[in-house]
Amino acid sequence: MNSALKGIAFAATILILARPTGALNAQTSDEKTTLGGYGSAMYQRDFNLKDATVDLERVVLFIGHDFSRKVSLVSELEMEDAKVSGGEPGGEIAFEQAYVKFALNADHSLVAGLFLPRIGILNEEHLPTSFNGNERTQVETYILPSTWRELGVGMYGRNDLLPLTWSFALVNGLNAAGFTHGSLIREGRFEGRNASANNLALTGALQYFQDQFRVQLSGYYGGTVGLPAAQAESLKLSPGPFGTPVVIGEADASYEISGFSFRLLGTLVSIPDAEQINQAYSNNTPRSAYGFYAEGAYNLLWSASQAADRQLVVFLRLEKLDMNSSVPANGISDGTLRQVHLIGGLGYFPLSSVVIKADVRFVTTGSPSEVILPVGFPSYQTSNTFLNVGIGFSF
Amino acid sequence: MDRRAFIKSSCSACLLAAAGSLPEALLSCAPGAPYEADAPMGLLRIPESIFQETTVRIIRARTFDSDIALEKLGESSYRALILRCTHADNELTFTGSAFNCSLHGSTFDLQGTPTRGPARLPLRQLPLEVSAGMVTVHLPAG
Repeated sequence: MNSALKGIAFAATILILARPTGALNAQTSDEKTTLGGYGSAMYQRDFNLKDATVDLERVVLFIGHDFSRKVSLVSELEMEDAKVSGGEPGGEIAFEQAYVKFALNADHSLVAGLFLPRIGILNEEHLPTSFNGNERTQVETYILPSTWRELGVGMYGRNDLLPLTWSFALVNGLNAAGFTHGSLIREGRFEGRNASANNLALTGALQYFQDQFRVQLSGYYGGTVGLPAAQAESLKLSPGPFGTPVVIGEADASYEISGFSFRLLGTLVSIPDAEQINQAYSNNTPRSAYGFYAEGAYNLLWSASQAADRQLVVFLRLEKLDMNSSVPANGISDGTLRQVHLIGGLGYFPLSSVVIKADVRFVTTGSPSEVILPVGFPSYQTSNTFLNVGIGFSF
Repeated sequence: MDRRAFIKSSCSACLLAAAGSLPEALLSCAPGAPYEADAPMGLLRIPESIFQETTVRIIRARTFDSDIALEKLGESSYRALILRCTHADNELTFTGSAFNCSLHGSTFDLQGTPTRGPARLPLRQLPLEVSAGMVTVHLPAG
């Protein structure tokens, strides 16, 4: 409860102190504060369980502050599930981003603090008005654990001659002890809280733009053991900045034309020392995982008006992922982690900042392992349908 | 030369040719290097002659913290936009026919109209005048 009160008090204080000035004032005053935010709520019906839930998934307060023309703060404070209550599951108050940005020149900037490395599409573009469907993509939830923020420093730049941008970052690494069967590396993130600084990670991304076409390549290489060397070696794990590494490669492309939009993304995760991690933590870490998706969408109101404000977007997305595409000798392959999702639905934007969403997700999985009993066992079914209805906003 | 060697050498030649033409192909898509200029008294003066090969140029004033997109609309007619996202003041990237913000994903068309949120306000347009072959853009104070 204390953390909830502190979070609310902090947000309220910032709101009172902030001067809600429009960005147009940016050039008339060196110092200014910008407010923004986003949020989403969703109803979900699980047809197998014949159960339904409704949740205020998240509300995020964005606060940006320009200290000077060259130095600024970017922060996003997030509250998930509307309420945090002691001893009860669910609910979280966390900074999604909090970093200081130094503009070195017109093309290059340095950031330091808690930030979202450029990996995949949704890690940076995670506003509910930016993606189709109530749920974030499964691939960018379970293979790429968006929104994935860590502490460190990053360089962002762009090329003057080509429509090319790049970024590199050095951040704290993951925690292999947190890797969890069913969510891959997701629970191994520190997200800015007491992160180990013994192990580090390098990330980088390259983006190329041509009109409405964008292609990106990104990568991650980081150590997962933050223990002191003696402790790590006693667990037979390789310590050091990049010991017991996780390696991620990702590529995506998006294209928009005449009301149509398309997105493609593919990613591979490799954990070459998964066997040692399993020996140490018995968490059934796989050696590799992959995921990809393809999405097409069309704004049915596009021909009526090209204005961004009113849109009715119909979309279809196919996702395939395998959270244990290969397992080490001491791992157990679980077919339920081999999944295909087909999602189709609508998004109605009365304004570009508000969206009402309705979609259906069909999922099929492999058969469960005889050793690892899935949620819902013994009635686990290898196919299921979810109905999602929700609302999102951003400003 | 046997068939295998022929295919191998032909493919190598094709790959080399493609690799050689790649930079040229990429540069043909390029918006061009920013035109840099001083802005004494907040007046940015740009010669019309820089628009001989393109209708949009990125202008960089040495004393101003944002790039400016200057578009030639017609004879002695121009539009100047400040390349800062109107949502959270982040700098924008020119893609050749649009402006993108990497912070939250907003996009703007060449007119400065937001085409994807969360930005809702259009890009700020700067007053300008054209005379004697020069475009003079009035930068904001501050």
